Amino acid sequence: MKLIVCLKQVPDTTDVKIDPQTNTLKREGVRSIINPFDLYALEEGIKLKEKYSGVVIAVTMGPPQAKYALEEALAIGVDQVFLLSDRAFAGSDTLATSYIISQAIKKIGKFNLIICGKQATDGDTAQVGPGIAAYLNLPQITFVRKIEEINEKFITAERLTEEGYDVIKSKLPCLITVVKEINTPRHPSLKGKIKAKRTKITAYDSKELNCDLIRTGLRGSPTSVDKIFTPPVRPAGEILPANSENIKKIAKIINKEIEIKKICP
Amino acid sequence: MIKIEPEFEINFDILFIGAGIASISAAYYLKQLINQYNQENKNKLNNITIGIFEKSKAVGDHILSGAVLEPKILDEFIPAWENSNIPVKIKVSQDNMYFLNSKGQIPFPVIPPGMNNHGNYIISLSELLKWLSNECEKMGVEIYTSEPIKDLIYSKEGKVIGVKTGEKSLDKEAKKKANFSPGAEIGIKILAAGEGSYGFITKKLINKYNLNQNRESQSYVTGIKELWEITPENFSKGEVIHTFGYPLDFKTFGGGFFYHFKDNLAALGLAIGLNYENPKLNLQEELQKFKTHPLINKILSKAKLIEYGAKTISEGGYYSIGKLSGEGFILIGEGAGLLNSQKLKGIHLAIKSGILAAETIFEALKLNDFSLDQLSKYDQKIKESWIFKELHAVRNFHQGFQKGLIPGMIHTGLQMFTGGRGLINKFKTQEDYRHLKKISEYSSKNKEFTPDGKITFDRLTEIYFSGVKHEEDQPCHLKIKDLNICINRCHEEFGNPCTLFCPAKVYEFENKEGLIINPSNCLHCKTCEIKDPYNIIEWTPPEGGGGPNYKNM
Repeated sequence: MKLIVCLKQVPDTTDVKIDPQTNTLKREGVRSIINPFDLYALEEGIKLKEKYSGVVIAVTMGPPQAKYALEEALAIGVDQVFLLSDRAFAGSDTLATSYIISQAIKKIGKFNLIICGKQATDGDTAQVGPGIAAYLNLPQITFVRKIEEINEKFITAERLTEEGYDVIKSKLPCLITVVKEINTPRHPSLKGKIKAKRTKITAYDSKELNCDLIRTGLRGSPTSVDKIFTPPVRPAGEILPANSENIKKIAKIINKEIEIKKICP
Repeated sequence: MIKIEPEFEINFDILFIGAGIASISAAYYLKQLINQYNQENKNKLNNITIGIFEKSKAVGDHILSGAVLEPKILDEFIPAWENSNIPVKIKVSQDNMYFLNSKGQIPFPVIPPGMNNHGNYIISLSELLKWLSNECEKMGVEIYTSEPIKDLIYSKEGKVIGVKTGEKSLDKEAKKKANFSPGAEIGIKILAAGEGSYGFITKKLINKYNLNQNRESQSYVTGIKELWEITPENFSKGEVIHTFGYPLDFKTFGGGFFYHFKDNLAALGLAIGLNYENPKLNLQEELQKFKTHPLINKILSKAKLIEYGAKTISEGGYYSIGKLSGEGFILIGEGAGLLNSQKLKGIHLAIKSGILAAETIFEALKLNDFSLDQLSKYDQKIKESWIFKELHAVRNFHQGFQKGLIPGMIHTGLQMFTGGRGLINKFKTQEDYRHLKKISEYSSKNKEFTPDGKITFDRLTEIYFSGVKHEEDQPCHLKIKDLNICINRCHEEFGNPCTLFCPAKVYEFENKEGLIINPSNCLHCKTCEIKDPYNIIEWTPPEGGGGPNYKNM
């Protein structure tokens, strides 16, 4: 089985501090990590490889230092890595990114399954996975919480929804995006870390990927960010001990909320 | 077939514990020696693997130091350093030393020659380390982070032949979680322990091989440090202040510092000798009082707190340095006791010990001889170097203050004129924890201190500024031999001083629940292991990657 996992490097949000005076994020000196949702994609890829044998290939696009994400992927257990790095890729939005990654996957050749995290923690768009599927003309199953069955031809997976889950069967090759319920990512082993350090990671540029430069970088990105702001801090909730008096109090609060919603839904 | 020596799946020729300045310098110098040798010789030293294993998530995360650096060591180490982009740029422009009382200050008319900082540089040690570690990696030194070394592996003859890294994903009850990963065993030719003050493995080596036999016991200081963004009109770049006196009483050894070391960034802190007597002393609170002194307070107007942290410093010096090598290993840097107590500086000594360790290891590699005889040459090199000359001259400094500040000053004065000998040569020293007085024996004049939330803060507020983080669901890394002692005896006799001296408020006492431990707050400073009056706390490395996240300390 040939599995492709797409990764993104994001700022470590647990490392980001909030400046209490200006209420803005302090990005200074914040280190980069693999997008936490992509770790579940990686784990699922490696688990499938262990079960059915095959290879796992990790792909990422970013500046040269994105190689550290691939180094970690190698340490966790992937067999091959592709770094897509070119000045012409800088400023790419989700559309351009999907295009560039799909070009790289075309270069990789035949495969069975592409696995992505459901979304990245920095942009939260959840668009690149589906975008790649669209460019490659592949069926896709998003928000996968469990792979029920997979063979050479088909995949059956549970797709998480707000109410429960759907069971979806698709032919392969196909693209899935995964949610955190799917597995528990492993730690990189020391042996893996050593192997990763001793592997030379080379970058592929726009030429090697046969990219049409009109579709990459800022030129290829129709999205523009209008404004960035920190949402207001939500006030702490109130915890009331369970007794008859409080039940009335809570009912009153709920009733009031419902009324407000009736007036201005 | 009978296996004589255990075989390891993973091997390193040279393995350093701790990516601090001693290890990084040693690896840097060693790699240069090897590269130079390979250029000049046909018989090459090929495929020498050099690994540095570090418990923090990234190099520099657990590094905390003043720091004022004497550049003479850089001339020895990186000859063209002044023309490189090494982050050693801010020269001391003004050097002041004061004696403080609660209201004012008296400048020292003459700064003792050893404490003069003219010509020195104010640096951020973590910044310097990031630079150096990068250079090391470019040359092929491998640095593995989030990998604490938790155990040693010995041969049948008692030689160190390997180490074991920490396991990951054990829960609070030490049960394996779904993604449990066992520690790895690594075979080594030479182990170099560069763990800094009170190293976990260093301590094991010292005890197992009796390295400190007939030496005086090590003494420590805890440094509490903060980083502030200040307005340069108040305190210009390169300015240095050192203080004695307030807020510490005459009996407590220590002093304050304040350095403007980078664009509007200033480091301030208080170093407190852990041989103090007052069972009610709250170290972090003493730093807060220091900031209320007019001299300091004035500079902090309109300033903003950026970082907070704490670390112990090995202060015993000359008479507490034991043997520095053994079967399969050497000790380097501050963990080996190499620190100048008068200057409160150790970076230059750590680098020098790294250079000498690299020379010793290089010779061992050339001769393919990793015997004790070969490694013992490191001891000889240290003794013959300027390290010992420098430490010998201040051999009685810290100890002279045992009876307090005034006798300390007198001793220091006399030591200055007698080449460090002074009135008493070689003071008898006791472990720091033995100096703590019981509540009944100590009349404390501690006044209640309330932080103002602007310049002074409580511990919980400050810990946020250390960036400390640990995996919450893991076994407590602070091992207490007998909790009953804490709840019954210590509570009665000393009032659980750990709840006060810990700069991260890891320990709390509640009448109902007894002693509560919050290991997630731990800054890895080791004060508790050193100062707990019953000597029953042991600090062990938590799961890799946990700890403070210092950026510029």
